[in-house]
Amino acid sequence: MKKNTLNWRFDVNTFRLIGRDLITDRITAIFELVKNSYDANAQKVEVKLFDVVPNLLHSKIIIKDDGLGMSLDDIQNKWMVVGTASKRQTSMSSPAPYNRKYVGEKGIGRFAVDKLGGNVVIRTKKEGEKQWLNVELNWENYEKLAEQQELTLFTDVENAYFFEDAENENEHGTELIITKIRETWTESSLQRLSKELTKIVSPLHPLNPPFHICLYANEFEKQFDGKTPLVADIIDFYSHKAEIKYHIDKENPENSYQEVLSFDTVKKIIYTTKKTIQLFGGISMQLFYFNLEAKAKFNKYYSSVGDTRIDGIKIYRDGVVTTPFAEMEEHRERKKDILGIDKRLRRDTFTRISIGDILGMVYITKEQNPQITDATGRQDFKDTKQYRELKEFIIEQLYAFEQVKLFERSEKSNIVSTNLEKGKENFENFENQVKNLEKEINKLKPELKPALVSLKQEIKETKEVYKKGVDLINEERKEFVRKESMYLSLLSTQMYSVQVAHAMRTKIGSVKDMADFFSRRYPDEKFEAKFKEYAKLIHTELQELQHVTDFMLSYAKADMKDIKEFNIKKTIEELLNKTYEIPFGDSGITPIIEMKDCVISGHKQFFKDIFQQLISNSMKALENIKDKKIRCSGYAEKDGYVILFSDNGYGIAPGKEDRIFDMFYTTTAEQGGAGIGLWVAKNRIAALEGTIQVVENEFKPTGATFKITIPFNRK
Amino acid sequence: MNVPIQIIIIDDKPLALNTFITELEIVYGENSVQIFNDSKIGLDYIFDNLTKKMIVILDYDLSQNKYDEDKTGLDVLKKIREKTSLLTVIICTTKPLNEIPPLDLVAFINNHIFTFIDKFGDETMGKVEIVEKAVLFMNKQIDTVLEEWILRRTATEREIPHMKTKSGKTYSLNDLLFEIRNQTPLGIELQTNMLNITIDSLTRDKEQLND
Repeated sequence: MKKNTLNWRFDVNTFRLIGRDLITDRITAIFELVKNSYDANAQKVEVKLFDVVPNLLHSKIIIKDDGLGMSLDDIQNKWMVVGTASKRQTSMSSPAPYNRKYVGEKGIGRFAVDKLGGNVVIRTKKEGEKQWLNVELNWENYEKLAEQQELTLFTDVENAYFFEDAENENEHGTELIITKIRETWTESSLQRLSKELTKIVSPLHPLNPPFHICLYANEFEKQFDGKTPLVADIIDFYSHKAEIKYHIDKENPENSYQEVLSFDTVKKIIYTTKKTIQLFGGISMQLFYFNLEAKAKFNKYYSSVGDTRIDGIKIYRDGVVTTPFAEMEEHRERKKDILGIDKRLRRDTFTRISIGDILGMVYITKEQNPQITDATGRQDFKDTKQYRELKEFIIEQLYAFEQVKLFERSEKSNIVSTNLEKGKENFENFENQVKNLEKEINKLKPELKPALVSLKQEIKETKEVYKKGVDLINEERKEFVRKESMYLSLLSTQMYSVQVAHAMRTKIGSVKDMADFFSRRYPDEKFEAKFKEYAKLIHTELQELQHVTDFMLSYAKADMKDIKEFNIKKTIEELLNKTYEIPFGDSGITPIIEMKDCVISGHKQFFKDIFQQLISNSMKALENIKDKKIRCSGYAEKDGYVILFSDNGYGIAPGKEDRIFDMFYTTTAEQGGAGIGLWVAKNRIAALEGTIQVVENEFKPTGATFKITIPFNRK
Repeated sequence: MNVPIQIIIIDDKPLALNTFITELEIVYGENSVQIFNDSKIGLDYIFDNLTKKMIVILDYDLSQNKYDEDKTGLDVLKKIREKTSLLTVIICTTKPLNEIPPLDLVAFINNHIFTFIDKFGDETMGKVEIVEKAVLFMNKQIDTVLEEWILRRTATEREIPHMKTKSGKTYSLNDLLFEIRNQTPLGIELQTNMLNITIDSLTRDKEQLND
């Protein structure tokens, strides 16, 4: 029996779906077409723009290469077959010595043409063929058909072709002649195109055989003469540079390694260490960091040359760039930063590196990193685990530069402080010297005395002004520290509120229901027992709620300068048993307190802040744990009091024990972690002249233990 | 005769439902409400008592459930639906509906919950009203109606072989009720046939409706 079947058809609109609508900007479009030339073994690609500014009456864009070219069969059975896998079947382009790994993959790059113009003629010839094949794709025709009521199929549209005799049989290549250009170009967009095209091939790893791109624009012949291949600028003026490589040893895999960057806080330099090859495969990287001075030099030099920017990290696969470059400013923030470097910036102050501070090249290969593949729109990579880890890895390498930035800033600050103090000294010396001079002059040339008097007066006044200036700077510094302190306290309150809010809602709801029961049913002998039960419960719930409000009030009343004696054990008991009673109850956390009594003098609020942060951290770590525990133990030693704070949560990743105290370092962003908690804790502990560190976890198999030491004798 | 109804509540933190449970007991009787903070034990109870008239109330967020495997009420609901499509289930949630993941909402619809109860938003009596509506709904279900009809027969009548299948197996009224409640293939077929007959008789002789 014959089966009934149905076939897929494609509406003529398809051409737009995979052309204009899929490729998001025209620079990407040109880029895709140039990549096709690369895949076709071209050594030279000419991108020519005619009359594209300011109107488009006679405009034309031509992309011409000297690659392999195509036969009628190639056009019919490969180029005009959507989604052709022919490139994907073999992983290299043929023949040698090119051995170019294919960079265009999904078989839709050819539709990029539609983004540029409404009509394209493909003129192509293979070596040895006697004729040039010309195929005309009139997209406007497709548009007209799309507008009609009746269904027209994409596959039914006819595209004319014809042959023309070739003068030289040995010529080969493909030329795309695009007319009916959609948008005007400006001088700056051409400059942008030029800059972006220079980045196709890594400036530091030129290809052999070469791949030259020439840009010509008839309206700006001087700038874009089409003769000299576009060359990326040498990376210059940077302040710091670092490089990492990887090594694969197939015979002895244990010898394989991936280099990573670290910052030596003692020697104050960036150095590399070896790690195992990561999930995403081996990668190499070059990073150039521009501090403020370097940036100034860079901008000064390049402002005269044109549009050049320090604009973050690019990923090159098999020597050719893969990451996006977008059109002008409006896309810059969104599209350029696919690694999310600046996303972190939003929550930051001064130490984070933004994409305006670094130039970087990451080199991946299809062989080593097969899981890093393009997403269909070509503006990002597919969201796989390997890609996510790669992003994190790249950002981790930036961390070393952040340390540099931090170090330089504090150095600078110290130098300035020293110089300022020195300045005061200099004035004193100056005054003394003038006094001595005065003595001499009085002896030898008394008539100069009046001049000296006014000079002395001026020096005195200047010295006063200078001193006031220095005092003002010091005042402002103190003010900054004070504000920062307040800010941190506010953050603590906010964090606490968030934790408590949900649990409070449950309590208030149940108190409300019980009160409602009273109002509906009272009096009624039948429910005597219930009334008693509810009355008790209402009382207990409200008492717990009171602890919460008390805690929040304590913040409102706290005076930053409030130093007094307080009992450590009692403070922690209050915190764990009362203040946190509701959220602990809600989450099922059991607090265990084993502390020896001790009274110290200090800032009680700071002390509470510390433990609040630790508790908040622990609560997040305990979220998916069954039998949740928080344990706090403490005892006095000779010089100070030691507190061990532990939870049986998922613990701290090995190697991260120091980083967790950095501002904005968080592994719990999804749970609302801002990365501030432990930084606050550390800060507060430092204010108490104590220390905090991660020690071996008390709870096994997973957990975290912090050891806090607070000295008895403090300055 | 009114068959007693059982209300099963599976909630890891039932404290917030205190007054609600009290009111349910006032309406449906002292031992009508069973509370479980372990979804496995709760489910075992439900499956052992499928022949009883039951309404199940499941808490959406079961993060402190004693039985790890079921993290939300949806997990429990799916297990119930594997066994029977007849049980009336209500979901109790503290989150506003627009904060429940859309996929979960879709799953709730596809698994035929009766409705939602908002733990904090609905007043106690409002919650009770919802349960009353669920009971009313349940009373219209074929298995419930059949059960009430069967219970009007004497104990002896209920045990008499009432039906015989082609394979020779006999079923009493009690057996038939069991088959329907457990949604066995026979039960489902029987249900459909009964409905067909009823509709058929509705459109014929009116006198046949008298009981």
